[in-house]
Amino acid sequence: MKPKEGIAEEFLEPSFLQKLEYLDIVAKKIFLGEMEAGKSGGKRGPGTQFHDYRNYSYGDDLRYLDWNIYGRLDELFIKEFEVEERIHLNLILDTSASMSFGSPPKIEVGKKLAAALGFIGLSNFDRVNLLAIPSRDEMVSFQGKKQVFPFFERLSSLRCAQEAHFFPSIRDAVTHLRSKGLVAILSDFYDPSGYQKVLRFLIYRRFQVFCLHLWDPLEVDPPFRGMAKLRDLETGRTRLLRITPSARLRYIESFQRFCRHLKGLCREEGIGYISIPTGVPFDFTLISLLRRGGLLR
Amino acid sequence: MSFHHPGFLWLLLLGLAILILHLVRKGGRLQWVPFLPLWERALLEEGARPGWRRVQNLLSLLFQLTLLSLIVLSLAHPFIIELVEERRHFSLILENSARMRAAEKNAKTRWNLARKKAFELLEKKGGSEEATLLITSPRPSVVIPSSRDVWKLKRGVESVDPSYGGGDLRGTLSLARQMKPLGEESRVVVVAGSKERDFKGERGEGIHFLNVGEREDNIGFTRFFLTRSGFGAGYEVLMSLKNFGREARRVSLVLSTGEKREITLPPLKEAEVVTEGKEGGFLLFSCRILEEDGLALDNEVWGVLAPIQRVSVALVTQGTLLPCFTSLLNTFSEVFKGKPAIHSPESFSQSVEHYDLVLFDGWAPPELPRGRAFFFFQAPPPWEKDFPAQRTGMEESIVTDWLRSSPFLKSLELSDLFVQGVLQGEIPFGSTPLVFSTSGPLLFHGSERGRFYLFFPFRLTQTNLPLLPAFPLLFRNALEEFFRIWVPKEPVRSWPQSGNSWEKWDKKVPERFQGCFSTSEEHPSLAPGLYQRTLEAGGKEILCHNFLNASESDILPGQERKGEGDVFSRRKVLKPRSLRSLFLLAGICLILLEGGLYGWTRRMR
Repeated sequence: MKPKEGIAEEFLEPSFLQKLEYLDIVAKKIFLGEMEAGKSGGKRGPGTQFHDYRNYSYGDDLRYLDWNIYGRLDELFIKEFEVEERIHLNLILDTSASMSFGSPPKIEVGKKLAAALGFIGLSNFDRVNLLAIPSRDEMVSFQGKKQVFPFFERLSSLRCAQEAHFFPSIRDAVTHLRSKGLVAILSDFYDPSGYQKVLRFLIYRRFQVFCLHLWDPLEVDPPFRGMAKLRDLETGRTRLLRITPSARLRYIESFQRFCRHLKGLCREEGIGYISIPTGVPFDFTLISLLRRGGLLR
Repeated sequence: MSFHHPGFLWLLLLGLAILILHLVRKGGRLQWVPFLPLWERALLEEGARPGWRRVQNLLSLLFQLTLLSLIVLSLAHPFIIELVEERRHFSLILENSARMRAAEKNAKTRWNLARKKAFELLEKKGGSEEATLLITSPRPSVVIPSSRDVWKLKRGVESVDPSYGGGDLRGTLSLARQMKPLGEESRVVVVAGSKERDFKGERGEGIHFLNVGEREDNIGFTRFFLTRSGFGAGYEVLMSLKNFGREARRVSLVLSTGEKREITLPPLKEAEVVTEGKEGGFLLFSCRILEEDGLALDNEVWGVLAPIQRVSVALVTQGTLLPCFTSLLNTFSEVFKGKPAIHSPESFSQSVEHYDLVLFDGWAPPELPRGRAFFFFQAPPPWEKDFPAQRTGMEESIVTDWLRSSPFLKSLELSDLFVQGVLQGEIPFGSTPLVFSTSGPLLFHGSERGRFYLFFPFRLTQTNLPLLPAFPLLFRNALEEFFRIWVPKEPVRSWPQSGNSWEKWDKKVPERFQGCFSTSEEHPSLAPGLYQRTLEAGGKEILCHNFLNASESDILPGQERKGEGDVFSRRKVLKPRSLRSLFLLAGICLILLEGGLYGWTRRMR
């Protein structure tokens, strides 16, 4: 597929897009889909992928009788096929103000990542839902390769602005989803009210959740020294602090504890967790990270 | 508090800059963070001591401002004016010349009184006051340099004894001025041993004279010369006596020869006594004043003349000069004359070697014999076989030049002299010609293998008139030079008698000589060249310099007894006291304190 110029290049290189076409999304659970798609859902029914044989029973569609076996064994067997399900890929991109931190900003990395995942999803005839939190906009759905560029346009229109409050936005958006599917949250998970409630809610709603934790190296090793006026990007709250070497170490420890907690929660709840530093080169490093997290195969 | 360089105080404005920097730094740089609660959570533990943090910041600011202030104040050189006890220095000069041995009524000697007075002065000394102890005799010297230690100074006083000679107050005062510390008021206290003497030259501001001793009726020898008379036939004595008192005195002198003389001495006048004797050989001469006075030390003088050294002289003559030689040799009392020898040449060399001096007149052995000295008169020299001499005949050899500085030719005028029949030849190697003539050297001397010889290559009878009467003088010169070179003499010595027993004088010689002979020494406690003092010695013939010479030993000043309380009165004066070092020290302490605090807080973190 040849992307439209000016839109796709904002996120991905054309050569990279071509490589992404060969990737596939793995849905670890069986989802019920409205339309057939390129994924085997494990459910028997009309389809093209042969699954098994069974004895004929009254009322079976004669079209699925295997007449060759009947000729050899003089018994009636019905061929069963797997229904190819369409999985729903729900991309939740954090557009809170904290995502504007970093070099490059985490939102940019998040957008590129979402674009890559969305592209892969759309290339495999999946439905891709894009939700930007914490904005009050409704979740936008995209389906089919033709929707790639509208999807990209939608992504590029997203801006960081507000304070992160995941739960209300995600709850409202997910409530309207009729089908379960894959949820990939691209965020730094800096939510003053906590991310646990959201993740548990999604698990409760039987989504397969992936946390793509974006962080910048400057968050791990802040270059601050001495007296510093620290201002929160989201709340604008300011604290005058003396950044001593020991204080810096304690902050680093605190950040690592935050990451460990998120990772531990994901492991407990069966949520895929991928840690994505912004400084890592995007293309193959990202792919390797996604493979390691089980999001791609 | 005042400042020597107040201009530096403008640097205190740098404190404002520090304050502004501190305030700016206190505001902190604006840093955006994605999630402030993470920092707050971290600093909740770290910032558990915000009060201490504020105190630390405040302390840091205070430290910087204080350090700046200290540095600026140090540069401005602060000082305060305070009323302090004046730091003073005094030099205590003790006269320890011979007069201090005088007996006193209430003490054994006058020196005891002086020492007691010195102790009193040292005990009155202020604790911060430094004192230097000096003595006047035998030469100005420092006993204890500047010291506050009273006990040390007292031990210094105790270590001093009166000398046997005069003293030098002028030199001691000069030395005391040189020892005065710079920038300090200094006084000089002289403890002297006599009273009512004017010493106008040394009276000055800051000099206090304290007198000890009561007796002032001293009569003493001031000069004493003892020497042999001409040709050693006797001796001569010159003595000077002086009445140091204010009243005329009549004194009796008893000489060792048994003679007794009486003389009258006006006050403060000196009289000379001259005497002579005919005694030869060893002589012990003494003279004593039969007078009880304040100072027994200078009441007796004595001297020793060494015994006459006898010299044996042999005369080998053909008879022509015998009367002349005999009469000449008779003038030397120390010459033992041998008979004119008539010996065979073979036995001669063995017989004359026992004589100190052999005179050959008209004949000489073929070789220089054993012995010490030989005079040859018109004799063929023993080295003739090596250097054959020729007689010039009757032509006249005229003297052209002579060594006027030679002791042989002392007092001789040889111009217009001519001789006949001079032996001509090369003078032997190592000889020194003394007189030159148209036909060669007329007189020369030399030495060979430790033997001295003098050669006259002419006959005295064959000269014109000037030499003939002068020959005895020439011969005497030669003999005296011979005596000077070959006959060591016992030097004539004399010492003042201090009243000690006879048996002790041998041990006392070196010390007693100190006051009598010239010295040119440096004091060991001073830098080389700082102090040098030469006392006059007498002329050559004065074998013992006068002791207690009035010009040297009369150190006694005018006796205006000043109040002793003034000597040690303590004044308080306003003096600037520099605080620079104090400020610098405080700055260093502050830096160390801050460094310690910094290290401690780092360890705590």
